[in-house]
Amino acid sequence: MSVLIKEKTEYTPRIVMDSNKHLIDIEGDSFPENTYDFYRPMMDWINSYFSTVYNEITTVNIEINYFNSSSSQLFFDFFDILEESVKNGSKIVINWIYVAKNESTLEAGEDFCEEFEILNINMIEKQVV
Amino acid sequence: MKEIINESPKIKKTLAYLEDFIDTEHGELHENVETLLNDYKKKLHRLYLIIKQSDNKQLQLMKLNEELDKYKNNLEQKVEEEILKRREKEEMLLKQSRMAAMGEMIDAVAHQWLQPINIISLQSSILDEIFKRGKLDKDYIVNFQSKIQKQITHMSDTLNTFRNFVRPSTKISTFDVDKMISKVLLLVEDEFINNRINIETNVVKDFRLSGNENEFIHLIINIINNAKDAFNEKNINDRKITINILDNDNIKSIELIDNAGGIPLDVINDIFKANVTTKEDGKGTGIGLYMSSLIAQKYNGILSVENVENGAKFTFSIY
Repeated sequence: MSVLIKEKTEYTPRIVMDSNKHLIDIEGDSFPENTYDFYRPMMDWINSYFSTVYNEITTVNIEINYFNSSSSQLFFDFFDILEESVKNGSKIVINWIYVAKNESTLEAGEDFCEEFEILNINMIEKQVV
Repeated sequence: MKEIINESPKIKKTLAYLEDFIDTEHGELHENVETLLNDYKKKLHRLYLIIKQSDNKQLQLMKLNEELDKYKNNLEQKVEEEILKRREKEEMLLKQSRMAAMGEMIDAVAHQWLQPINIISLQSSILDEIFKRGKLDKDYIVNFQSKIQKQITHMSDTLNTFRNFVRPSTKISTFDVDKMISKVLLLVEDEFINNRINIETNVVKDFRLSGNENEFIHLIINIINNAKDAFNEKNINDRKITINILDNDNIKSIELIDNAGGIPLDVINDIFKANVTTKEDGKGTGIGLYMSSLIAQKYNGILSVENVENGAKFTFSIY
């Protein structure tokens, strides 16, 4: 059981991965200098996590307002892992959180919903006061 | 020819290999190619989605840039609006400050007028007695007129100074500082005598200022009125205000020094900010010195303050 935390920066999101709580949180903007280097610990952690988790429901919250194309590509890989895990019996709830006026993030979430029909992706609109 | 081919053992072997390949290997190859093709299609579709998402983000950034441009274009207008608002606010503060000073000056004028009215009344009341005694000759009348005229002139001067002060004026002129100070003293003289405050003016070297004289009168009155209030609040016995007019090495200055105990150190650095007062609750508006400081700045001058022995020293300097 492990916890991985990466603090938010101007260009990268805050990442919290807690195997005790069965929780994955990604929040912020994503423009890393090297996307694959930045996300590698997260991808390693997630591969390791889903090889050990069985009946528990894992919650994945993703709130990314702005992201570059290499981040977009990485999210496809990320969802591939989740899809594979669901096929292997894992129970995952995914919340794609977007700010009401941010249409491009809404559309990106819809793309992921269509591309990964097997996954349970909830589109959650967030109101900003 | 066909027969020859069929009969050739090499060709027979080859055909058998091909038949075997078509039956077994081709199926596997077909499957592999199909898998590769599906994978390629999937990746192509994802690439299309990534490009679409990237385009959407770019479009969003372009819209944000447009908004930013609009905001930049409006910025100049907003700055002008803010300047106008600030100017209106300062004018309002100046008006409030002027009203506060006006109240005190009405008292001053009333005091100023009391003595000449008493003198005129006295002169008038003894006129019939003089006549009865047969002393009402030409010399007496000339002398009488002179005395009355002197008092009326004094009253008229007081009133004119007061009127000039309270009337909003934008008139710019060049004036002597010692004469401007004399006008201030004329306005406050009796009030300060009543409060047992001695004002001493030292014209070390006079100079001239350009601007609205009333605003400078206002600046000086704000400072000496504060000193008067401090004397009364602290119940100080020996009360003195010294006004020095100096012109040293191109630095022209007016010093106003009192012995009213000085300004508490915790507020002295903020004393020229709006709403800062050292007076008891409800007695000070916190406007007077703020306005004085603004007036000084308006004419490229500096109003500063420091504590000196037993009191405070305000200096208006202009380079």
